[in-house]
Amino acid sequence: MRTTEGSRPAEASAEFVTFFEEVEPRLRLALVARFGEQDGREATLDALAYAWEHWDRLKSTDNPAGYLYRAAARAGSRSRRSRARTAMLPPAASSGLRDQGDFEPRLPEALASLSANQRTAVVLVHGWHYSLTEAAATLGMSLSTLRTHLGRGLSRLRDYLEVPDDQAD
Amino acid sequence: MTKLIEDQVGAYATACLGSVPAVTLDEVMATVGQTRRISTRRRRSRLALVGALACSIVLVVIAVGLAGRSSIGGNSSHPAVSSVPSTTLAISRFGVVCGYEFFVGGPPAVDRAPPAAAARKCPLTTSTSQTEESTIVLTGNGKRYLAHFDSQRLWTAKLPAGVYLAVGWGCYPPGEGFVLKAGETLTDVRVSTGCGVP
Repeated sequence: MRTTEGSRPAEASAEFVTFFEEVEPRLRLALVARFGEQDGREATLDALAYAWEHWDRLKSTDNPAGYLYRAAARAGSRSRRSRARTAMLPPAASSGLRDQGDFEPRLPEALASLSANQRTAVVLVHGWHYSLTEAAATLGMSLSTLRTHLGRGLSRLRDYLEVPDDQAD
Repeated sequence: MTKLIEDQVGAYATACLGSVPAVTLDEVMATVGQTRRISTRRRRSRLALVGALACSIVLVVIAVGLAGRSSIGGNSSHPAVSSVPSTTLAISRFGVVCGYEFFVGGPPAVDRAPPAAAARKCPLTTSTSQTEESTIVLTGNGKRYLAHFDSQRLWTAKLPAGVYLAVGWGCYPPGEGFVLKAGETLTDVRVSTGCGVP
């Protein structure tokens, strides 16, 4: 049965708020890494709205955050298919840190050239320092799959930026 | 460039991706309401689309049915002429009062001029073909009509009302013919299979 905002019991609402506070940051970071700043935030909003509407079903799943991420990734890929396929990551110039040598100026375009799964895995693990377990749970994938995406993503980044092998380790 | 790629990704994420504002609960609730409104609108527009599609299909079916009734057969030998009812649809719809000449008796005299009256009333191309014994097909203006010829030299055709039917291509006095009235069925056109006596 479909629940509505007005008819949802108070305890369920409190439960959802707890879930929301816990999940929103990592869901947003993951979806921003996948789709870029604007689309990623919109996808997060849509996913959490979906979570509210289907909370009764969602809370009984093993990994609600992972489920939400996968659903948002699928929906986002469908709805954004007509737009540019690469994520609209902010350019290095917008950070104001380029001159300090914190990262290679071509890094944003290198990240954008990765597959969505590779990019998300790399950003979550190396950008936000998620543990492999946390990242795998957020993305709703197994540890071994995450490791594969991570390894391939880093390898492609090195190739793209032409990083010498001696700096790979 | 001395930093590892991993560290650079960390610096980039902190500097550029971390600035995306958090999603608030209020925004989520607003989106829920908006989504519902959009869903309702989508359901309504889908319903309207399906309704319009269904109406179009029904109209097309009716139109095809009526168009089928307006011509007599589509096959040169089947079905029997008498089984197809006459209709005024083709005439009223297109406003055509057109002559369909009977070409009978031997090869059509294609090298001769058509009857003056028929030519005046029907500038469109008309032609017929003749089967061996019993049926001729009258074609003109995109329609096909069958006329049946029996052993008594009686041609029976059921044509739409308003169709100008000229007989006597070459052999008969020009301009001899009939204009069918609304709902009238012409069943007694006597013509000869050869030039001369009807």
